Amino acid sequence: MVKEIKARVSVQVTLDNSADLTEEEKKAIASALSGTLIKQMTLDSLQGEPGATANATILHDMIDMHHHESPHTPVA
Amino acid sequence: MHKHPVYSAPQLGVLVVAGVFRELGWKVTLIDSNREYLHHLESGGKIEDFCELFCTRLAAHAPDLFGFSSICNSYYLTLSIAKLLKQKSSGSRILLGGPQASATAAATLDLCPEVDFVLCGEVDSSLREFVRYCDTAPERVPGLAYRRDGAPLVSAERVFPSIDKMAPAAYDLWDMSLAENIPIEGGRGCPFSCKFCSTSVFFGRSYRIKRPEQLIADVIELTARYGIEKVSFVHDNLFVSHRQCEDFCNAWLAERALARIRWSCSMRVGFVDEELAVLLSKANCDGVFIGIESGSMDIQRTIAKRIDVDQAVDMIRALARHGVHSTAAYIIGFPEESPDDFALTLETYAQTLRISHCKSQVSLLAVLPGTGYSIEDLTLDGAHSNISHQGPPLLPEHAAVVRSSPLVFSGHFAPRLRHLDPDRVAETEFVLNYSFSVFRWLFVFLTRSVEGGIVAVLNAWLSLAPRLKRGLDSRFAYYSSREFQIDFLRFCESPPVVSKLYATFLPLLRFLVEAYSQDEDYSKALKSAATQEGSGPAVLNPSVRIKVVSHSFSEIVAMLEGPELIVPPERSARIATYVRDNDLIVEELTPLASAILEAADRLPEQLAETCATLLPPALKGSRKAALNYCLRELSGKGLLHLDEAMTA
Repeated sequence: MVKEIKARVSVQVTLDNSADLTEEEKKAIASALSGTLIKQMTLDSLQGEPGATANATILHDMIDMHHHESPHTPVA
Repeated sequence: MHKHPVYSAPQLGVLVVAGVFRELGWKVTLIDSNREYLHHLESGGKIEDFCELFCTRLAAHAPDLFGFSSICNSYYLTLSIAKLLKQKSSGSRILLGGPQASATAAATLDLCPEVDFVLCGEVDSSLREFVRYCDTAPERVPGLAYRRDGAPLVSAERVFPSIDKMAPAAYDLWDMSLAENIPIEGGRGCPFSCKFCSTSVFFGRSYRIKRPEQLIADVIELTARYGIEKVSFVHDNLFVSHRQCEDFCNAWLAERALARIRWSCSMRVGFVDEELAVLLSKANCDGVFIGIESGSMDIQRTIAKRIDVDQAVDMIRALARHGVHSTAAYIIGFPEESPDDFALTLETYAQTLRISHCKSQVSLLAVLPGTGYSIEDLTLDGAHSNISHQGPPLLPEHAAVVRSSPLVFSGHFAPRLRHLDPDRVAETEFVLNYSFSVFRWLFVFLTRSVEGGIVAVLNAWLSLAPRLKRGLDSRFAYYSSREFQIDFLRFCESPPVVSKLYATFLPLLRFLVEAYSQDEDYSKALKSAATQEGSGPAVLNPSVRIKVVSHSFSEIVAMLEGPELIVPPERSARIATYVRDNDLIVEELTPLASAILEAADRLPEQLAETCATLLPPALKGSRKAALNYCLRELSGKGLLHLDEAMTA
């Protein structure tokens, strides 16, 4: 129990210290933590039952909309 | 309403029109039918009930005028809503605008008596005339389609307004708190006239671009107003020359207020060299949309696009070398396309597919009214209607309306292909887009390691999959389901693939299939997950699964991007599967992330010691602060669960 309290106190102090980092240092850390994406998908598609929303939106997510914006304004 | 990349994106077209109405002194209410539709489905509503409920809501406003924007593939819904609305609010008049209504104005009035007017083309200056004369002298309104004695008439020539005299878009009518990116109008029109494209039909070949200082002033004002640091310039070809692009980038770099703002645009291939790629990167260009369309130079000439395909791929590589993302867009299913042309497009697609900064995407050709493709020879085969990937499945009552008028709904019809099997072409679109989306590097690996490349891989898939001869909705349902994902992984290890694979690559194939299978029984794992106890500052989020694997995925991606396939040696690595927001993510962890996740529940001193050698060198701040920042980052990604009491 004593150990746990010590740990919490220590963490309280260190969490307050994050302001010591410069923007460059934060970027370097973020980069060192940034893994290689293998796969990303909506949880809906994991369920195996693509409903109407999934049907309509999965390709939306895949297809770059830049080319399809104004004046090709989407109207559902 | 959650942040959805499509449903949250401000729709610039209607916001511009709303701005014009405001300048005329009207009170404008904007109702976003996309969001209404999503909300309807998320609340458990049925697709077939949407139009009725939506119209009841609209009719309650009882305005003088309802205005609808329009695009090709949701046009049947626009007309359905107009029809119902007229029944519910007979005192209101209905005005349509936008590209689809403009290109089919007279036919629309013929087909849909409930529509009173179509105001064709750009309405910036004609709207004023419309408000003044629509009842008394409609012939005086430029580009107005109306009825006289029941017969549709379209009035005189359209007007192409000057880019300097346009009303500001009414962004305040949109819920900008949901937007991640501000679309800003870059100008209008295109100097080219590609055979398949409707841009020149709508805007004429009147190429108008805002001056760099105007664009930059818009960016500064809007990003400050909404606190959003990303903008996209909306224009089919923002830059068509080296000089023009260079001037813009230099103007951007001269403005300190833009240091954190990133931007994207669409531009023509042919003038971006290494020097300009460096400049674009320095000027925070984050993404470039490039319409390659076809890998065949013969088709390039036929469709009057005439870009040099090799030059386009070189440009994408140059942009990638300097960290600029791109989208390479292709069209398949041109009536003139031969098997050789088709293969050339596939091979070009395979080249851009392996450039990690580039997103490759494929669309079937849709014949748009007013373009160089005739609507005389079209078939309603159920495989089309996806040019803009918009809208719900076509309901039977809507299908009947669509079938009744190929002229109005040509985007839903397939053109007759002279040399290709339309079902194979339609299926190819799905295979390419979904394998890119779900199995990108596995698919790249196949296209590079199987004898015959991408054409052989596709032929093998199509010969195994008894899925041809089905309609668009069935393809959507199959390719967006787990069934496709399971089938594709099995296909990768099936005899037609393995027999054509060079033997050296078999272990890599097995590794990649394993890497992409990480989520196979993830749902079960999620249900049995329980929060862990620890004595340290954080514990692994119970939804995270970490697996040790035999190769480094990132090293294999680097190999696949390179010119030669040299198999990297085995090296232990860790793959995490986890959930962030509503997304399932499979990711190879960096050594630092792995070390922290494995030791996060230990005492801070032990954790700091474990990670000391993996933190970036030359950190000026304290290691404790660095470690805390790591914990916050990993918590933000959904990998760690921090003790809220301690962070308060």
